[in-house]
Formats: sequence, C-alpha cells, structure tokens
Amino acid sequence: MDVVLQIILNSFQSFAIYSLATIGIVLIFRTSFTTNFAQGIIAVFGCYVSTNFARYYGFPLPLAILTGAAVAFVIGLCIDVFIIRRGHNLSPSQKQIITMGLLLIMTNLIPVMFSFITAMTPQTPNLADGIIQFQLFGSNFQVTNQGLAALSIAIVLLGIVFAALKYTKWGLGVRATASNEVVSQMMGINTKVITAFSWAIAGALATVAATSLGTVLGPNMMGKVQIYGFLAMVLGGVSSFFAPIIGTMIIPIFNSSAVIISSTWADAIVFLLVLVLILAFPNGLFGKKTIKKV
Amino acid sequence: MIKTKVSHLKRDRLLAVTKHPYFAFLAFGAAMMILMFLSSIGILQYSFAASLTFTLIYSMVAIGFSYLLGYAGLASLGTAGFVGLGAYIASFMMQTGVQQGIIPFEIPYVFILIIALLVSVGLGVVVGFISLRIEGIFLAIVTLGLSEVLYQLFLNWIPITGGPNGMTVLRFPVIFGDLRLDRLSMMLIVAAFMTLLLILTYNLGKSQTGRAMLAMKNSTSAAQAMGISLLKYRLLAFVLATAYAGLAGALLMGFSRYTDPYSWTLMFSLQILAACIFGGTRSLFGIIFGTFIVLGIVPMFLQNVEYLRNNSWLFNVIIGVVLILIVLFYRGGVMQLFRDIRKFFTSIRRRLWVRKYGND
Repeated sequence: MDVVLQIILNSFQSFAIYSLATIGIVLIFRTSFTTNFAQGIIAVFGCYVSTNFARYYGFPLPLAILTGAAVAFVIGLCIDVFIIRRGHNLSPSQKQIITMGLLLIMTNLIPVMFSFITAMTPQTPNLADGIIQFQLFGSNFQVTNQGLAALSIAIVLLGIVFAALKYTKWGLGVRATASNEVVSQMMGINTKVITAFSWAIAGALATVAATSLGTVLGPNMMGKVQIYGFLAMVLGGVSSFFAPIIGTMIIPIFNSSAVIISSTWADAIVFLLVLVLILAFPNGLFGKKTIKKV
Repeated sequence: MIKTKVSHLKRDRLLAVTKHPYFAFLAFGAAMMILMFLSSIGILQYSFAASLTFTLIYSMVAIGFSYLLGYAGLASLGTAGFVGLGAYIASFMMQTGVQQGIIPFEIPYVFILIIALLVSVGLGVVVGFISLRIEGIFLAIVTLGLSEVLYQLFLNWIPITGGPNGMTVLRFPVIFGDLRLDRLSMMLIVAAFMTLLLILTYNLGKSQTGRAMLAMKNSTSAAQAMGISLLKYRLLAFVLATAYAGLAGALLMGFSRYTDPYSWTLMFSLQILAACIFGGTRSLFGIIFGTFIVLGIVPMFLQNVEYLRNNSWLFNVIIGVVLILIVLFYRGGVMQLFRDIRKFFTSIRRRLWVRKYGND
C-alpha cells in the first residue's frame, strides 16, 4: 500500500507536464484534424524566453512564465493564421509534413537565436526547491516541492481550460468544430478564429509544461513528452476532451512503477504496456466506438 | 526508298526499347553505377558518391513506405525503427555476434541480408495485425510508439547495440571465406538492389496486388464487398514496407559500417513521409527525387558552399521552409512540377512557332 502511494506521489510532476502538453495536442487534433509535431518545439521556444527572463533579467518567476506563455501564444496564433489556415483542405499527412517543417526550422533556429544562453547550458527555473517528508499510516513518504508546484499549476490551468470549454463561446465553438467542421461553419461559427485560438492556447499550455520540466534547456527537451502526449491521447480516447487527461494520469504511474523494476528499461516497459492497452481498447479506455456510414 | 523504310524500322525498334517500362529503371541503375565508378577512379569526389549511395538507400525505404501511404492508404510513423532494426541486425551478424562467440564464423553478406529480411517480415506481420484493429492517424501514433520501443532497445541494450555511442563495424562484410567486399562493390550492390526494387515495385503496383490495395485505400467497405481480403492486403503492405526498410538498414550497415540510435528517431520517419508525399506517393522517380530534396541535397551539393558549411543550422531551416512551401503551393508534389515544366516548354515552343509562322 505504501509503495502504491509513493508511486502516485512520484508521478505528480510528470502528470502535470503530460496533461498540459496533451490537452494542447487534443485541442489541435480536434480542430485541425492533425497531429502537431511542432507543439513541443513551440513550448521549447516559450521556455527559452521564460528562462531568459527569470535568470538574466531577474523577473519574478510567475511573470517570467507568463511572458514565455504569451510569446508561445503569439507564435501558435501566427502559425495557424499564416500557414495552417492556408492549407485547411490538405490531408492529415500533408499537414503533418507542415508541422514537421516547422519542427525542423525552429529546432535549428532556437540555438542560434538564444546562443547567449546555450553557451552556459542552463536549467529551466525551479518552480520550488526542497522536498516534503511526512508520515502516514506509520510509514514515511516524500514528495518534491517542484512536483507539488507543477501539479497545482496544472490543476488550475486545466480547470480554467475545461471551464472555458464548457461555459464560453470559444469552448462551444471548439466542441462544434470538433464534431463537424462544415456544419458548424454553416451554423455561423467562425471556425478560423476557433482553430487559431486552439493553436495559441495549446502553445501557451505546453510552454508552462516545458518550464516545469526542470531539466537542462535544449531543443529536444520536449521530445519524449510529446510522444507520451500522443500515446496518452490515443490511450484515453479522443471522443471527449477529458478522457486523454486520464491517459496522462496512467502513463506517469506506469513510469514510476517501471522505474522500481529497472530505471534503464523504464521507458521501453511503459511504451510496451501502453501499446498493449491501446491494442486491447482500440477506441481508448473511455472512448466511444465511432460508427462509420458507408 | 526502301533504305529509308529500313532505317525507320530500326528507329521504331529502338524507340520500342526506350519505351519499355524497364528501360528507365535499368538506365537509372546504370547511370548510378557509372557515377559510383567515376568516383572510384577519382574523377568525382568520394563524398559525393557516398552521399549518392545514402540517398539511394533512403529512397528504398521511401519506396517501401509508398506501399503504405500510396497504395494501401495506411499511415505509419514507425519507419525509423524498422530501418534501425535492419541496421543493428546486420551489425550483430557482421561483428558483435562474432566477437561474443554467439556466431562461430563470419556469415556471408547474402545471408545477413536474408536474415534481416526475415526478421523485418516478422515485424511487418505483427504491425499488419495491429493495423487491423486501429486505423488512420491512431495507427500512425501506435507505430510511432513501436518505433520508440525499438529506439529504447537500440539505446539501452549496450552489449549488442553499443548504446548511445553507436556501433562501428571495423571491416566490410565477407562474400564467402576471406573474400571481402569493398567500398565500390558495396555501392554497386546498392545500385543493383535499387534497380531490382524499382522493377519489383513497378510490377507489383501494376498487378492485381497493387490494384487491390488501391481499392482498399479508397474505401475499405467497397473493397471488402468486391471480395478483397483486408487481412491479406494490409499484412502484405506492411510486410513489404518493413522488408524494404530492413533491407535498406542492412545495406546501410554494410556500406557505412556505423550506426547510432539518434539516427532512428521520429525525425527520420517524418523525413521519409515527406519524401513520399513530395514524390506524389506512388510515382517511383518522384519518390527518389523527393528523397533527394529531403535527405540528399545537403550532403551532395549544399555541403560544398562555404557560407552554408560555416552556418550548418541554415541547411535544415532552408529544407523546412522548402517543405512547407511545397506542401502549401505544390500539392501534387514533384509530379506536378514536372507537368508544369513541360507545360512551360510547350507554351514557349508555341510562342516561337507563332513568331516564326504567324498566328494562323
């Protein structure tokens, strides 16, 4: 029992990061009908900006993260307005190529643009230092403050996003676009604005995720997060916005348990387990079966 | 009078030869072989021929991938893992296995290729069964996950794969006994395989198999109603794609004798996807040209430009911009480009004709 609780405590930070990255991936998948491989690199860009502001201009951390998120928001908006919107009738794999082109461009531009930072190989700013130790049912547990801080930020942000999806006009528009783009256009929904804001919000959320990673800055820092995000999306099921979040709860728990068995093979074990689960539930754990008309 | 008729006949016969579908493939293979041969005498730089060989190997992967994307309409992002598997199997047979005493003697290269092919076919069958349960973009994500598992294997199974430092094989593979291949013969083998695969792909695409896959791509339900077995053709598509990829991996290992896990990430799968889409997904020479744009143009030509060599980040930025521009404005890929060039020339010829003879 105490092992299980400790595993859950260990996966707080990963859950925060994966859930923020995944909700962006799902938003883009539901409104633009493609998988966005550039999501991670937009986040890395925002993370560089926020690290720069926090470490070198001495901004307070929340303000620095907000600045980074705002930059990523604008980048996401620009990408949709100038590139994705022009190719709205492309096939999903052609759109994938566009996002891959963006990935190539930004991966190579970022080290050049921020060469003054990369010379020092800095870390992302710590959200909080130290660990908390406590006793429960007679056994010791510990949790990092970084994990708790990331978790609380993620819960607040996810709460805001889900409230927005449920109660605002933008959210209604997203749900309508996700269910049928053409019909929602006919009903007077400006799907272009809906899609643009989905890209922008996805960029901003992923930036917060990248900033709470707590690793060395680098263009590839979000690579694994992104792949786990895609898998979590399929694992949870894409028919609702909430199901992928449950997918992102399962993956970190698998990961913290696999680390106990072998830290080298943890990722391989998690990937295999997730693949087996997806094969067992092809529509996702909480997805509905889609019925095709012929 | 009679003489001209004979010469006409000769010309017709020659034309008939050039019109034969195999002619283009054989001519392409011969041209590649000549370029490789020129580099071995020293007329061309060796680095040029080496990058040409790499481009050929990658275009084999892309042509195999076209069975999935172009014919069967299946999305896959597992290409990198499949190629890497072939490469590491070859490295195991060529060096690691012999050193560790698992394999008693150095296996001839032919058998290495066959074993790499067999393992790849096995993997293809597994992925094919997965594709029966999951479709569309979700299949792409699942194959991406599978490729990640293989990547973790390459990265962490250090006694076999060499881990993050990569695996260097010291000597070229043996033909039999002590007779070894060398650089030129490896290049020629790659060109020969390329020609063979082109002919095979052309024939399969035109045969009942290719048409059944096309039917499946357009509508699975209609194809099933016509009596096409989804199981059979999806398995076949994946088996062909992984077999091409495994073969390419084994050839790559025989030629370059070096591989590391970081070559086989999502980026490589996406590059192959891009090459395939540029080529118009089914046109063989289009795909080769697409591979050249995505993977070949930097090492073959841009590397020689002084300014670009000093700012190597520019390469990938340029390629990224080109990728986006092509997808946005040239949806038909290279084939549309060829068509437009032909149209441009006919319009010029027409304009010249008008200037010469008047508008009537």
